[in-house]
Amino acid sequence: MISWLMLAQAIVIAVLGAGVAIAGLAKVKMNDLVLGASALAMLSLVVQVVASIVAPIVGAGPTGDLLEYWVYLVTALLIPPAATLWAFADKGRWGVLVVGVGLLAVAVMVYRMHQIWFVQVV
Amino acid sequence: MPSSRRSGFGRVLIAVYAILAIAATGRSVYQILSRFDEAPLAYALSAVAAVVYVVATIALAMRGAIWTRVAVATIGFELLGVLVVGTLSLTHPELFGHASVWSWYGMGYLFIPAVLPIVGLWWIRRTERAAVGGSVAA
Repeated sequence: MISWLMLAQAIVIAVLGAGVAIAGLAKVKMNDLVLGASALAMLSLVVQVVASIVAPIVGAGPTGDLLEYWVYLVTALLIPPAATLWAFADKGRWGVLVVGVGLLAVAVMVYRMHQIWFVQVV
Repeated sequence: MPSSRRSGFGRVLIAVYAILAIAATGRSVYQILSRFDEAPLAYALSAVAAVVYVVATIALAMRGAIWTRVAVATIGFELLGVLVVGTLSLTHPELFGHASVWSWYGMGYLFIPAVLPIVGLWWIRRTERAAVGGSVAA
């Protein structure tokens, strides 16, 4: 697991989420960019799953609780697809805002995961 | 139907509720599995809060008068919970000073747990009024 890469992931997803949320507030309708942002977040989390399985095996385990970390990761992984499905009933700005809010929540979770993995103060 | 509880702004509201519900459930399951003995009261309450968020999310998303009542009851309970537990976490930190969705008025969740019930109740009132107004007009 690489610390700065995970922080970069959180920041990128936060920026995507903020961008999508602002687009929603600006009444932009559902489009491929919004879906792409959600897919990108989802993809990065799938990579995260693989890294999280491999890292402890090669001896780079978390400083914090691995169970807590996985609870966050699995929850975060569910959000982009669930938010996108939920948004599809409203292809107007509210649906876009749903995706934006979902991505912002994922960004917070990735940040928390970073804390659990690297900077646990127990 | 614009007056439906789950369309328009309601879609975003329910999405935020759902995120909070799964976040609270995830954290609660972890707390009970790994460190329940540290603060049984706070963590049991954390579990109750998680269940209430899940029920509130479902109730908001469903139609019908019964679900409206369930939504008002659960969201009202949340508001009470975040105020009472938020205050207790300050006055009795040894009992409630543990990370839960309601501790310190939901600070760990950017105070969303304190704001959301107010927005939720407002939204139910607004959509219910629109529904009544609509049927009178028709």
